Amino acid sequence: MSVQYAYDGSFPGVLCALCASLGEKERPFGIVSEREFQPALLAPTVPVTTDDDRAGRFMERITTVMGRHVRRTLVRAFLSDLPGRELRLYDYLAFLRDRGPRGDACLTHPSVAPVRDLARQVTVEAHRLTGLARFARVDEGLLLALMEPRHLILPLIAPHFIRRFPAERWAMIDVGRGVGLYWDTKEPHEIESGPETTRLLNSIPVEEGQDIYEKMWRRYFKDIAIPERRNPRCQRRFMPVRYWKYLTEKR
Amino acid sequence: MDIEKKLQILGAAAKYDVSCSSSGSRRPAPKGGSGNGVAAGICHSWADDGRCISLLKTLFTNVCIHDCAYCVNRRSNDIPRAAFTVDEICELTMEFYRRNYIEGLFLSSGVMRNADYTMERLMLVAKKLRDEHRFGGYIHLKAIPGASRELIRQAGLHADRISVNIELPTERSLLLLTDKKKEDIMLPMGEISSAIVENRDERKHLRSAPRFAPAGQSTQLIVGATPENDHQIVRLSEGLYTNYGLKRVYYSAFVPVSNDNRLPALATPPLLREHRLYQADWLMRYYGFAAGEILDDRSPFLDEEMDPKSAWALRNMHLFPIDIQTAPYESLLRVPGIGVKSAQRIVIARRQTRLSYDDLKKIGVVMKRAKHFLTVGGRMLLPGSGRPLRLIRRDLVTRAMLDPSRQLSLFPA
Ligand code: SF4
Repeated sequence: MSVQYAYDGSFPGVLCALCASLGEKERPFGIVSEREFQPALLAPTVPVTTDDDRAGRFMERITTVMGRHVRRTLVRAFLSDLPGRELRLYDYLAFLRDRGPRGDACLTHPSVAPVRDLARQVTVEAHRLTGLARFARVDEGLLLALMEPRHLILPLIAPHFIRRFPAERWAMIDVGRGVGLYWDTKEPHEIESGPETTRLLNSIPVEEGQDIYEKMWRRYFKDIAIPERRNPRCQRRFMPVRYWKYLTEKR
Repeated sequence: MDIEKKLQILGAAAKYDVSCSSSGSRRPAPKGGSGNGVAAGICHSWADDGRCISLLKTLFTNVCIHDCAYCVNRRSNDIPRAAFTVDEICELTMEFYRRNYIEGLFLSSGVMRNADYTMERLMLVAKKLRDEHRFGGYIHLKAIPGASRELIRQAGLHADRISVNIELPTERSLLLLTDKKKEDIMLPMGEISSAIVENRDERKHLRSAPRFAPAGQSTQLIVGATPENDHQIVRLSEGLYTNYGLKRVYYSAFVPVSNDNRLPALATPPLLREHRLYQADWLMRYYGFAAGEILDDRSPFLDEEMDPKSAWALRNMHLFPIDIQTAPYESLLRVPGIGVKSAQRIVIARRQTRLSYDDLKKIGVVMKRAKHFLTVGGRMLLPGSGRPLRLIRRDLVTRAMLDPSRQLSLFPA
């Protein structure tokens, strides 16, 4: 009888769940994080304990046998943070296990295409936000960026901003998920929801127009468009409305 | 005048310069500084006209001693004038950059006093950003026609990209509408291009030699202000890519900014024509097409109804169909409906399996167009090949015709 695996929602957690389920003959009924967990009527639940070492070894094996590309696809598809992605990851790995590393090139196969597609969506959003993230100066010169991305892209874009602003103090917060990152000019710190995050969120200058550079940027943004070429559709296609809430020039 | 007011005048005045690319340069953030170059470039916003904003694009000054008919900054135009100081631009760039509004600076200028004086200001901005602000982001400087070799060389040592705008595709038009000569433009372009080549050589022997404009050189052509045809323009671009090693040629649909009777009266800027020229340009840069394949003297204008690749394919039906399983990559690229991405994916996927009609759709091929040019599993996709060209043509026409004001994605495969 096929079972449902419940893991803690972390990446090492899902690796342990995948590792366990791939060892069984039958396709699991489901792989769900505890957050989304609902008891299934017909499938017994197997709780998975997260073991970082085991997860690390599993990842190592995937990388050596299947290649770095598969590893990258796996990580990014997981970061899509969409429900049901775990079972797709299972199908993907099960297919590669049977077909060999070349299986990843079966771009249109039903076990491969959805996972590659998830990974692609995540890559696209991460790249977008390297451009669309907006910092505001808050207390004591800290630069703070808020965002509500569809996917969990913070871990992917953080290295970019560390390379870009090594000498600044800055923080980024994924408001929807309540997670964030703080860079103190030497090393990154994770911020989780809690009093510190709330304090940061409250430190944002509420009054518009306090920062003269924000004001100039808004005006510049309007002036740079050529009126005879107005094209709001094109603008929205590249810069979907769901990002506007945190865009200085569109807020 | 305060900096806010200056940016209002000088930012808006730079909007007719289309280049905004921040690609082609990779550099790490300097010690204790801010900013790095990302080879692929990053867009930070999209303006109300749908164009990407990647750099703080502004003029140093809109004061100009010249009187080019097509330009808002021409001497005879009665508009408010302003000029930044070197420090003001540096400060704006740094503060915008820190807030992640931009990838860097694109600094152009009217000619104040003389070419050298202006060029020196631009060079000083770049130098100060690099040396004092320890700025590692992207800098694109305009080379002022007529400026001394030495100044342009110095500018290139601090900038990622340098450009000289040709603006008008033939010398006749230049003489008609400006007080510039062809040499004023082509000489600095030649200078920059040889400096780039020499620098590349030098760095082969000495890794520590400073880089000169690592993201290369670009230029801009105005489309529709003068009577040149598309064939002349495409051939000029081809020459610039091959002989001058340019990274990009930008095309800018002419927006009337004066009632000068030497200029055409246009109701709207020729956006569709500009769009087709960009497509032709892509065919030359990424699809292995030569200018002579895209247009010739008998048909010197690009087809407004369909993209230049479709038009080429329709003229060359004898080269098709090709087989999806065996055709070389270069031939796949020439099929209407197949772009660079899908051609690459076809080559990867076909090693694993025989591709079907559905596979091609999943890969992203636009089957409505491609079906006329392919065999799949040895068979034509359409029963009864050799269909009348009229019917094929119908499938290749793009919707741009229905609504010329709307912009298509830059290159629909
Ligand atoms: S030299 Fe440049 S800024 Fe001056 S009028 Fe001519 S095009 Fe305009």
